Amino acid sequence: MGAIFGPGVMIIWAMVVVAFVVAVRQPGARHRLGAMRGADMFLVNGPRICVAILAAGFISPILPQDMVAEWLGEGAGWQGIVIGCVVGPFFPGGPLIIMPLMLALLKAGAGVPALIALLTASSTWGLHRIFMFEIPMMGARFTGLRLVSSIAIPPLAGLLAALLVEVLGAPAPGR
Amino acid sequence: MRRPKRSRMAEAFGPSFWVFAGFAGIAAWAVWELKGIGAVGEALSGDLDILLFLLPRMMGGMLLAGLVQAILPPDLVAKWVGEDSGLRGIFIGAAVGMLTPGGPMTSFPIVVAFYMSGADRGALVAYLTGWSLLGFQRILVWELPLLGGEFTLYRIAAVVALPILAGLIARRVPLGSVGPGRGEDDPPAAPRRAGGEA
Repeated sequence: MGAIFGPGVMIIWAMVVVAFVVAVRQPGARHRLGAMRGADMFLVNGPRICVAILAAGFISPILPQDMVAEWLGEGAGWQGIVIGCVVGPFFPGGPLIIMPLMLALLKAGAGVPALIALLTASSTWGLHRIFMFEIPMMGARFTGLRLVSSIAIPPLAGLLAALLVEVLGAPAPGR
Repeated sequence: MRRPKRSRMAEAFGPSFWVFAGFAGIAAWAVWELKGIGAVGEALSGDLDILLFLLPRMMGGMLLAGLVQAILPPDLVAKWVGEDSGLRGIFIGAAVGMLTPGGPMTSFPIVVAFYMSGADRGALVAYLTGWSLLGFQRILVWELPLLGGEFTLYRIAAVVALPILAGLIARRVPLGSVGPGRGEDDPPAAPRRAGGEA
């Protein structure tokens, strides 16, 4: 899971400090209003996100992720793109988990368009993120709107990548 | 504009809390049935790790979102990324998304902040799509070192236009209000645009 206080958290809190200083310098005690709103958001969303994380933690051990990864390694051409789009949403969205997996699949000979479709599907339709953050914070209607709007994105990304590979040749891994 | 404490508690432990709690219960039972009690314990300790990891990020992200919302003048948000901002609003949404560091614990609070300040749905969808597909931190820290420059360039070329497409489609989807289910007492941002509340 990485260090609890890694560089990511430093960047976030550095931005908090900058925003706080900007707010202090604005007239009308905006920093107090902002901090209250932040605390409010945390109080309202915290419990929901906690149970959502709990649910996600129990769902991942019963998903056949390894099997799917093997399956994708064999997929090529447009079938690989379809498989990538279908399995992508089930992969946990964090780069910590998915990027090393991508590397393993790339080295195992999976098609680049399939991998790009998979990565795109996990970023735009990732179920973990949808259930842990999007529905609790923005509601089901907004989530539905966003999913409808991005329904074509993973297959399109896979097809565009296939076109690039067709014209320019496959990218060299690790370069 | 501030709601009384009791209604916030009701919101925090509202229907979606219980839906997720139910999901967690059913999934825990399934893990127990399929893999035994040891796997339940493992999943629980994994959850604890994730929570410890997320907590400082979530607190920072939400504090940042609250401050951003307090700093941003609503009329400016309406002008740049509001309903009448046209293609420019969608481009701005996607660009701000790409520049947002961190995981969902920063981007989703910021989406809520922008929504409350009057950003329109096309810009919000473009923001989330830009962040998830082209977030600079994820590319620099993870993709470039692990997958290499050529793969990264291919992927960026394949997806770079797609956040704009998603934003344009989002504006055309016939749906009424799409905000967070915050109850009748907290109307969408539109009325607030006029003069702010301070």
